[in-house]
Amino acid sequence: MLIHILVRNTLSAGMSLGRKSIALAIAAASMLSAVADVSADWPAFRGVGGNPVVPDAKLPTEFGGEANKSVAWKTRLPGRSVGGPVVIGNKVITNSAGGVDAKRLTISCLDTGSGKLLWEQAFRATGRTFYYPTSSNAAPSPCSDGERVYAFYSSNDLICLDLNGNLIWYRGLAYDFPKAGNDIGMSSSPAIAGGAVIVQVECQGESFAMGLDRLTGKTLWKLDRPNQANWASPVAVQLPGGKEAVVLQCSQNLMLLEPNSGEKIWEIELSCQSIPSCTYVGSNLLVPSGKGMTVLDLGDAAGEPKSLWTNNKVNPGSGSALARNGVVYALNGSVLVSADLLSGEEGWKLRLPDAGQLWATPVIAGDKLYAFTQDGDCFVVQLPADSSGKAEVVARNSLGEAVYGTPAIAGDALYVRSYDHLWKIAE
Amino acid sequence: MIVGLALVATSFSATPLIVAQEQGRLGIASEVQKALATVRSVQINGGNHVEAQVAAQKLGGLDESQLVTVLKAFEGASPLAKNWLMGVAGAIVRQSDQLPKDALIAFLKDTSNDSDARYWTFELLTQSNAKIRQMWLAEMSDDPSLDIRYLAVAQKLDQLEGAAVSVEQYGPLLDLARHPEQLKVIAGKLRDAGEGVDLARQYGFLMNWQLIGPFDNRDEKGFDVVYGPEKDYLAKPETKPAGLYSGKEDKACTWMEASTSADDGLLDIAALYNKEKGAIAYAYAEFQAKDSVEADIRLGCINANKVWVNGKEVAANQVYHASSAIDQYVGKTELKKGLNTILLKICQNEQTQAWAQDWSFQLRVCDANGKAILADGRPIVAVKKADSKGGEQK
Repeated sequence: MLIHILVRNTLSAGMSLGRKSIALAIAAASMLSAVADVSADWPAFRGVGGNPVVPDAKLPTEFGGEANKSVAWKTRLPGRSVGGPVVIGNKVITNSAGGVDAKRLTISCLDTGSGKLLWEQAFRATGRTFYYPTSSNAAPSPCSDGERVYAFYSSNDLICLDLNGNLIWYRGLAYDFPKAGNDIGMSSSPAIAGGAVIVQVECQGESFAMGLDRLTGKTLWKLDRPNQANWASPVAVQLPGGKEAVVLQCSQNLMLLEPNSGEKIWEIELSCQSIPSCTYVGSNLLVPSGKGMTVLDLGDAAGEPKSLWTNNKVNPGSGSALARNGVVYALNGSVLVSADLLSGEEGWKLRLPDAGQLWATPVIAGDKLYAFTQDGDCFVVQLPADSSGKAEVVARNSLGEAVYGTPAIAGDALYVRSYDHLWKIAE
Repeated sequence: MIVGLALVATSFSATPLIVAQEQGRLGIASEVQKALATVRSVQINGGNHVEAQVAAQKLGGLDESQLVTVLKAFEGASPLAKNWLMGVAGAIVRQSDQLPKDALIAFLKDTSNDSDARYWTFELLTQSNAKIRQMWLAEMSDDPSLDIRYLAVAQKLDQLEGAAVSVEQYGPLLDLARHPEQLKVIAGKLRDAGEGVDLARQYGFLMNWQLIGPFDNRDEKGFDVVYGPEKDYLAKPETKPAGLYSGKEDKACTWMEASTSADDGLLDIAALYNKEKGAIAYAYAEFQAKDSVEADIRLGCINANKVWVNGKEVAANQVYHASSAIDQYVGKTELKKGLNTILLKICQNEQTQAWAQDWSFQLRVCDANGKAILADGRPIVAVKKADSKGGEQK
């Protein structure tokens, strides 16, 4: 809030205010940002810490269908997305790509109560906009620090807006790194840690990870990465001592970085998968590794992480793993598997019948897991208390439109981004 | 703290020359124009972004009477700067009580204005008014903005869908459309109506090549190896290399004629070299230009590739089997009147997956809007009708 007041007062001075004064104001805001309260309900891809679990949320078990049961609203958007939305207070924000060759980039903000458009801001892609037919240029999910929203696209356009849709800064990274692009499409979502927004762009042409000042877009650091296709996202973590860090994974290694400097805290040789991303729970990092899943205890990051277990049979497919009450869940194909978080011992398995392909990471509200198929069907699974019980599919709901992005949970509502619409599911 | 201080320290270290140049282009020295010039001065790697951020915040507070001024600043701006200007224009619109519709319509109607700014204006004025949108698009199928033209052609195609296919309806659209997907649809309709269409000519694909290979690309090590044909071509780019060349495993390589009749100009190299893996082929073509002209060299290729025009490299992409499409890689060149030479280096690797077996390319010559530039003397091939629609795009 303080930052908003400062910037608003600066702006109200209008054209007569000198550049130096405004630059000083922005600098002051930058310094204050480290203590800004992040109040977003669902601030990024897979929520807080990349573990999309909200223990006290109460969502409908049955929804959608021809009767649009429990569909509070459904709003059409100006293009396609295969990412998920973010929710900040009464605003739900999603990005889209439409127009000719998906070059029209839009960021849309809807009112959570009514689904009405509060604002929309359009830009034009400056990088490559090729992608697999089922994907989208708007594949990365946006993220928010509670006062700004950051939208990233497969075309490497990175946009920072305030929560009223006003441009804070813009970077066309395709101009900085012309060879960085994958014509199947990129999908790594940005992450926020410390004073930085972090992007991970990995492909055959040119690969890098970058930390940018989240207030100015200035490059804080850049790290060369292997020239191999990788769609996984960086994961912001807050270590037990309160220190913020960011995790990067690729087929060659796993590393933890200090987000403002990009300095490596540690790097270990571990072949990680290239589609599902890591999940941070407590002090444990669930790593989709070449051998299924490896769980590490990061401790306070003073030294290298401690490996707790690796299990080939707990293997996330396209979506990432999640954990609740000491149980890890991974959706391998259409089979939901469970394991004990600390021991890796496998528990119950549950096949989602005739599910087809699932890309979105499942989410958990209370004791129910919601898993969307690419056809827009949602399996609702009643979870037992631990990995020794029995899980059960209690509903299969249809939205009738492709869903690839991980939905968001805020309050007792589920916000689902389908190809062309945003849905609010709530009683 | 460090970040903030660094920002102050760099706030005024921008490139005043660029800002001054931008101010000069805009020609007016008002505060608004100075701020616009600053926004337009953004450079790659975040250059001048601190100043642009300050200027954009100032400009975003302007009232709606300045909206067209901002839109006019798109003219000649870089794509990066245009996105900053879109942010500015959006901020003005959001705080506007009443848009200056007449001024915006006049701006849109003036087709000499910047295409991106006009398209932005078109969406602003029509996105919540379907009737106006439809009415305007009906008259915009030859618009210089490719975005607006695409929408206008798409609307006509939608309107024609379901009706009896006629040459009179679809024929004019073939010359109006620029997007490859629309050209393909229109050609298909015309063929259904019994009309012959040389779609490859419409695109501007080169159909006749001379190939030499295979050269060694095992372990993907050949991309930067200058093999004999490449070395001789770069030394004397006005003619086809004519030396004796030793290829992969020291086998002698000779030039062969290779042609395609596919609509999308796709030439299947794998079929010509027995699906060789870990191999490179060079493709050579000559292009007689009627006049000296700026041109796009647009390549679709699922393999690693390099492209030279008159000895100058216009594209180099070390990417294997990550999708392919018409116009995937766009190189800019200036064709000279008369003979121009084109050399391609198409590299196949050794991936064994079923989806990684293609070794092919398609190349067209067109203007920046995608309209074919045809070689002087390009032979008129027998046109295709409904029973021979040619190759399919991957």
